[in-house]
Amino acid sequence: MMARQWLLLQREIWEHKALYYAPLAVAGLLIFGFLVSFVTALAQGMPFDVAVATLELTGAPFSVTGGAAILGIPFLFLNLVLGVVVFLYGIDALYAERKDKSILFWRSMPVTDTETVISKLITAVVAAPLITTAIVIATQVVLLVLVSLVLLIGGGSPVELLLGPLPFIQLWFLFLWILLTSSIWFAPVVAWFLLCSAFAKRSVLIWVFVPWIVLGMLESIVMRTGRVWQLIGERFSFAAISGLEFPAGIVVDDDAALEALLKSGDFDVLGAIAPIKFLTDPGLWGGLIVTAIFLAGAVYCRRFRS
Amino acid sequence: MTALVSARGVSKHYGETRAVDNVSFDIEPGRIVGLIGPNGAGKTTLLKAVLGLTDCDGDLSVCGLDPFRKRRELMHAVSYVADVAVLPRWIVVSKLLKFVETIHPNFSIEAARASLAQTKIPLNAPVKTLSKGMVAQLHLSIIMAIDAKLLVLDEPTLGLDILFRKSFYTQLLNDYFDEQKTIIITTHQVEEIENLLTDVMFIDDGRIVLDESLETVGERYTELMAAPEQADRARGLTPLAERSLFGKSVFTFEGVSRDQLAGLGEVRTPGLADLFVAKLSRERAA
Repeated sequence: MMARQWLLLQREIWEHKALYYAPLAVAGLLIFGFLVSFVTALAQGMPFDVAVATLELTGAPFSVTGGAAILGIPFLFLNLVLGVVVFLYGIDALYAERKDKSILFWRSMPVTDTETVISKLITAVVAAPLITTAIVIATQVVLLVLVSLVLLIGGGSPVELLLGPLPFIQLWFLFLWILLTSSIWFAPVVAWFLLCSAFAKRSVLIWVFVPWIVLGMLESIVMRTGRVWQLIGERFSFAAISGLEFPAGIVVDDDAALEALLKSGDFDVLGAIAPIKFLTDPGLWGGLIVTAIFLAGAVYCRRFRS
Repeated sequence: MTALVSARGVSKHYGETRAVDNVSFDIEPGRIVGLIGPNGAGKTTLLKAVLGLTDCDGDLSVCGLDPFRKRRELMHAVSYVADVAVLPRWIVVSKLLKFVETIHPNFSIEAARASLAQTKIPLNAPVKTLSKGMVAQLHLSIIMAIDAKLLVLDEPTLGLDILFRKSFYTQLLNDYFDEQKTIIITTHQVEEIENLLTDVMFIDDGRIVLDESLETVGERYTELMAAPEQADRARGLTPLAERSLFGKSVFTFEGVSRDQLAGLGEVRTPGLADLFVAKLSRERAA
């Protein structure tokens, strides 16, 4: 049973190489960008120690803040890439096989449509984030090593300036927690992509967007309210903070504020992890019910419409 | 012996169109059945219902299972080629074999490799780099390495050259088929499979117009090539169809004994293609 699901996951990754190519490419660009900005700073005649202190990448003198940026920037960039990759994967996952007719082959194998659709959801909300996370961690390690080397050459102590003050483990725990909670939080969105890709005769994109735009417009005309668009807006802006709780006095009302807070580095990292808040959020359970409905629709379409 | 495929009053509608219209038949184990019909006759829809790819009305049982509800279980015992060129283009041959090996309990990867070794298909090639003929060979190699009770081939050799088609059918008969297995084939090249079949079904307009074993076809149907002066006497015996060939009239008869025809000209068993045309023109006139 596990061997089957594992194989179905592998199958998805064989087909959709962008799941690892895209984050790898962006990680390469980030590292390259770091090197370029550092070399440029030196070439412009900046004294070495100042260059070190004003690396564009970190944007601040070395401290917890700078170190957090070294960890945070790959995390934020690559998760943005993850969003794009998962979107493209979701709209293609049940559409391409119908378009090239290979569905006729896949359905000649003893695999139920439910197993297939679930393997595609797991690919998008578990496998893709884990692949991205592995690449995020590798990028962070490479950047930390590079910055440490730079500091060493400049005569500073990496341990004192960077590695010592930086709460690595806590930050990585935080990243993993955000990743886990936002993946679950985004499951209904992915399930909607899958439903559209199973349903659409052509242009999946139209089906992804148009129903919600029309629904929102109808609502605003007929009922003069904006609940549909508000729900969608909340789904996206609360994703990363759905499992976090912040001390009084710090206002984090969307993901951008979270990014700023992470960069500022002055809050108790692990204290923000709030499983109870996450698990008692009606938005989570409502989202999971919607996920189940969309997935059932995708399974239905694959069974009846191929 | 219970039938491997049993259909009772099977219908499938698409809106107002009846693609399959109240069809009943049985297929016993160990048979090779040719399902023959014009385009749009309902062949593919009927096969899809048999394979559990579409739902239908009526009672349909394949290997004792309801095909649509138990498709996964059914696929352990049934393999099919719905259309030769449908292997996923992005996959590498060796990974495709690994996939089928893990997912299909009755697949022998050794048999598939042995069969591929006789072709020019490299194991490390992506499917998209293979020619159309190679993709077909690959698909058929995989399908024939599955030890299935029922093999369904829907136009398995469409678009392939005659050398490949001949060797495919030879391989199918010699290496694959045995009395435990059952094969259903549809093709437009009826002549090529005529000698292979044990049974034949004609389907037209969603209905089965003929369902016979090849032996009973030989007993029931006869073809007479009559000289012009005998033609009127032959017409008196109410032939199914008449056509002319080299200035002679060729008649197809149903249920007329060979003795009755003996004096009128050359008597033989009709080819399936001719019988098909005769049977259909009669059905459509009725």
